[in-house]
Amino acid sequence: MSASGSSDSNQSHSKWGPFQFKYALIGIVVLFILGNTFYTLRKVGNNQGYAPKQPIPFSHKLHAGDNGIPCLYCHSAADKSKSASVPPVNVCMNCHSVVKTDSPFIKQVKEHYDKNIPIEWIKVHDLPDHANFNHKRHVAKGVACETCHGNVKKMDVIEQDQPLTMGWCLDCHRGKTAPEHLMRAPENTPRNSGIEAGSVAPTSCYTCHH
Amino acid sequence: MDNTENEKKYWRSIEEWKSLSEEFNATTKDQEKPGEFLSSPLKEDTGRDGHSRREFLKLMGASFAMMSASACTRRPIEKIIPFARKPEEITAGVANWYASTCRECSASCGVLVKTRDGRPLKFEGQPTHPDSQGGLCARGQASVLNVYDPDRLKAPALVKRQGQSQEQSWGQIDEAMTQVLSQSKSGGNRVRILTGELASPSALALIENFLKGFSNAQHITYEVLASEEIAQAAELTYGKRVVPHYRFDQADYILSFGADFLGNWLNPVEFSKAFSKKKKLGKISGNGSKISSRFVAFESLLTLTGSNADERYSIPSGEEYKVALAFAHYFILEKKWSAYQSNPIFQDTLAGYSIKNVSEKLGLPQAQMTKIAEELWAKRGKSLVLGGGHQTKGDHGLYLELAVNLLNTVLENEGVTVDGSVSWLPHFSSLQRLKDLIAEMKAGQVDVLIIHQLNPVFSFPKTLGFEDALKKVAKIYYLTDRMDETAKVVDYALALSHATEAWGDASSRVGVWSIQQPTISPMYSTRSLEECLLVWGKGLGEKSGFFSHSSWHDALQWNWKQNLGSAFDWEDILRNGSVKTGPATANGAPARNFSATAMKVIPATPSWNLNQFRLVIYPKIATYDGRHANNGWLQELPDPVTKITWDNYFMISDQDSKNMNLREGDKIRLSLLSSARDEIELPVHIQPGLKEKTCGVALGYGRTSAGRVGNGVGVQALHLATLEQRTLSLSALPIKFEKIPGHAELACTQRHNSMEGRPIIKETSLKKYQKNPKAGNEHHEHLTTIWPEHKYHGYRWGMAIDLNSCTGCSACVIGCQSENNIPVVGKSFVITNREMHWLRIDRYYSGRTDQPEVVHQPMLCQHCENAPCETVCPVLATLHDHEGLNQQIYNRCVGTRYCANNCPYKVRRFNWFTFTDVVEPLNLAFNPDVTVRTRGVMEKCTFCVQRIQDAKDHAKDRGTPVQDGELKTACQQSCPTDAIVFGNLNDPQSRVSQISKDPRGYHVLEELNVRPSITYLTKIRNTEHESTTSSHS
Repeated sequence: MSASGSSDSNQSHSKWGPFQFKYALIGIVVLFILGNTFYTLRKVGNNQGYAPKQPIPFSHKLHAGDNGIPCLYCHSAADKSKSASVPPVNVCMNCHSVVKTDSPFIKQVKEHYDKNIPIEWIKVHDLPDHANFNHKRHVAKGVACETCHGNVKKMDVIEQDQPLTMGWCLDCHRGKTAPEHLMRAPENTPRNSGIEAGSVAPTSCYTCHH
Repeated sequence: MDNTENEKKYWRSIEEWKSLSEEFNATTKDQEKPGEFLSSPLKEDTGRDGHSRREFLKLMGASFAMMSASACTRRPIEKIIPFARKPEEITAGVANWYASTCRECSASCGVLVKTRDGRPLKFEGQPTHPDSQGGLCARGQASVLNVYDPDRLKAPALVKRQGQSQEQSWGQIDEAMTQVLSQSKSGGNRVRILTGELASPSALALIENFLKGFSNAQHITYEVLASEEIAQAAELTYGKRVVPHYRFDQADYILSFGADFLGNWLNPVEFSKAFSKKKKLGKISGNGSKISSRFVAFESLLTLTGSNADERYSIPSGEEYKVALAFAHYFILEKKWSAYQSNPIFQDTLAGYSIKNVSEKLGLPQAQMTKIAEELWAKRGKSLVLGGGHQTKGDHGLYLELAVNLLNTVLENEGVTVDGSVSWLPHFSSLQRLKDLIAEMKAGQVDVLIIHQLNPVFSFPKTLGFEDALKKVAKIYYLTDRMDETAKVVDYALALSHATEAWGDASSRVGVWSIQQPTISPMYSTRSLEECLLVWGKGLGEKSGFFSHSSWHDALQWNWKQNLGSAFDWEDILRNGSVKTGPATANGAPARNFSATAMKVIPATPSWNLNQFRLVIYPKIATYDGRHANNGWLQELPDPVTKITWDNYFMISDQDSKNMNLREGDKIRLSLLSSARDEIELPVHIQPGLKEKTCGVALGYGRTSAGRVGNGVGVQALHLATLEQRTLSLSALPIKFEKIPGHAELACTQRHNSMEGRPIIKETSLKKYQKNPKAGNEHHEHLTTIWPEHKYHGYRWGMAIDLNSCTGCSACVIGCQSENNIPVVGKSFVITNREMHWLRIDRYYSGRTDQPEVVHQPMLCQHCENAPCETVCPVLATLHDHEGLNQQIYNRCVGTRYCANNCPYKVRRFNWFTFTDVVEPLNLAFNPDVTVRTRGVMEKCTFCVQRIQDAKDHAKDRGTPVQDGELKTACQQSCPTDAIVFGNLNDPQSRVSQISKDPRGYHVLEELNVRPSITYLTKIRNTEHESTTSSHS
């Protein structure tokens, strides 16, 4: 046994025999899978760039951009509620009972209105269920809609512009990425707000998670 | 520092008491119990959601493989579905509140219904209601779950008495009904409407108007648990059938014989409010009061009310009236204080009931009895004697009411604390009229019977013979919310709306009107009784009065206008919910004249047959008469006294259990002494506070057609009731029972923690408190900490709980459950200690087993400054925030459970399974502001952080800090006795800061130096009873 073993080692001319090659290959595949897994996991749940097809092709570019309709005209609860609210069909009909009534899509909208059937929009900016975001507070503070939603005025199909991850939220709350007018020196932080020194907004977990 | 109070030994169950007395460690015994080790979390068959351990591991493996294989993952597509036509008043994400009325029982408390996106989410007490004043009981809080009950009847059905239903439209029903009714009208046939105690004045007027058109029609009201004895006794003694209004706010001395007025007798919320106001001491009273009312109770079973008595005496069931007569004997015959002394009727009836005689026979301390009598006399005109309720149903209950009326008259309480000028309910239950109806039915004379909601097949005892009589009725229409026991034997089962789906009104007593507003359009094809009668009446050609209106809403509005006159302002009514039209009762009412001849009803020579076992059939706080059986919140609410969930059981005294060789959970077979019919088999629960030979069993269990939650829970015990001369008897029933093989595990929530001799509860007597406000609370720990102190710049939230006000009613437990999406886990998981309640109420006994003193202590997360849970969490899922809250972050939690193990208060709950995975549409009852937790996550009380955020949100809009009192936690809001105060401890002027500094304030487990944010206030008992003033040995 020992003799044949030594003859085996003498016979091998290179370190890269078929076995070694196989292991190396397996190693590379494993590394690739692991790398891929971590890369994927890093982005799991981050839907940046998500722009699904909506049941009726509504263009924000046309409404908010070209026609200059203010965001709050349709998303009327954004300054009153946690939820910005997607407009009910009757808000569409405010204009579209006279505007472009011959368009096939407007006919679809009118049908929804007449039959009292809601339109089922696909949610684009979808925070996890354990995160509570309050639109009203951000609007009241003067955070522009574009800060989180991107330049909606140029979007034909609405898409998720920002990562909307917790780190991204906290960067702003901690004053790293906050809009200029919200930046303030720590000594100006109101005593009653419970805001950490150096931050511009509360960063305790319960602010969002409850 | 001598502190005898804290050496008082508390025990939580009979086993513990035994071990205390034997100086033997009870825990070793407890561990021998079967079922205690059921709780392997990975036992293969316990996975309710269908994944056993092996499967779980397989799935995990597979999902990791898939994750690495597929490069991109997209979260599931979610939809936003806005209204097609949005109602003006709804803003997405903002709650609308509607003032309405709770219709779960005839107390009819005012409620505010919180709705989001048009669905009711939470019931809260209506602060402007003259009686309930913002309180709401556990059943009222749980009412919202009934809206989303998956087992509701969804459309009217033709049943044809065979249990098989065939859905019909309301049009078909109306057509058939109109035909039947018009035949009855022209043919002079008998039409009968049978309802429970309807507290709705408009519905009663409508029924009256509806029946007017028929030559032979009647409305019969009956409920087994209604307080008919009070009305009967009032008729005999005062000549008028009235249930008076009891004025606890005027009473400094309360003597009760079995009346469970803090539990479920008449109007417990109103009574709790008024009763507790008289018990507030020190800073929590608002004026530093050092005077408390005194409450003495004589009762057979240990009720919630009895557990709050300053002095409580257990007596055998059925003997209550004798004790009441003993006091009357003392005043009238012995001391000759009353003008009645010369009346021969009293000489005759009272002669056999001297205090000496009664005390000797019932084993009561004679000196103490005399003392109580003297105290009562000293407080005459300011005392209140109560009797009756669910423990004293039967002829002896009627005697008791007569004796109580006599005592109130002799003590000059009549007209002061007992207001007989306003009746509690406009329409009384009448056994006689029900008996007449049954006789008619049996004779085949009833042509049309309309039953509203009562479920008589289940809720009437067999002895009445109602079910058999039903077979002889030509046509039966039954308005019901589910295919229950009765619905299976009728012709038509008509789907009934929930109170949140229909217009209505209620009158908690004459002179108080409250509106019932719908907050959601009917979820299914349902109607209310009023809507049905309106349609049918119109179908018969009625055109006047109610019937001139096109909808019940219009008719209701019209009726209010008719009755309220100038006080009518519809907008105002809808906004406030209730109107008080009656006379201002602050000045009292005229005293009614007592008719002495009424006393002749009482047997003049008392019989003392105390050797038989006597049974009391009583309703539990949560499940009442079984109408709420399909409500999981109520089934899992621990009974405030026994702390048992999901079951009824045979309660027996410690002494009897020894004599009969019975252990907790042993099974017995029980029947009446007179006949073996309706034998039932029950598990035994050994209950402290019972006199020998007194046994109890709860009714409302053993439903067979309640739905998926309520079916098969417990055993139907009501059929043991017997008919007596004047009443239906549910108590002092002579019984026999025998031990049978078998053992049942009772799902009791009190086993999993013990006081271990530490001063968790501090209490003292009123006298000691008056001398020294720190009495019982002298000893405090002054420990230093190695941790840096937390600094609070803004708010620092904290709570104070007054143990002297808390009655243990458990309304807060359900309020918390509703607010915080707390799941129901079911009986088997309660047995393995996996209930999820964030707030529990611990109940401790002290003293003798037959006459224990009881304390209730709400226990919830203490939000410690040096929280032991925070230091052991490996992933920082629980940590302190800048407002003093101990945060629990579900998405960070990995479920190590270190925190729960390190929590000295044991208030953390772990999701062993996805308990929140509920049947639709129960998911609609979830509060959208609170995360629904999943498996593997720890959770606990958050101090209702969503409410804090909401209050801060509103405060920021205003630009001012949150005002004191503006923010209430769910438990605080629901508390009928205002025992819980929440607020900002950083504001020295806030109520909670003030109360926390009260000399009575202490922290539980101070010696651990965890520095809780919750301050408890010592319990002060107005007694000189020896067990409170010295330690139990």
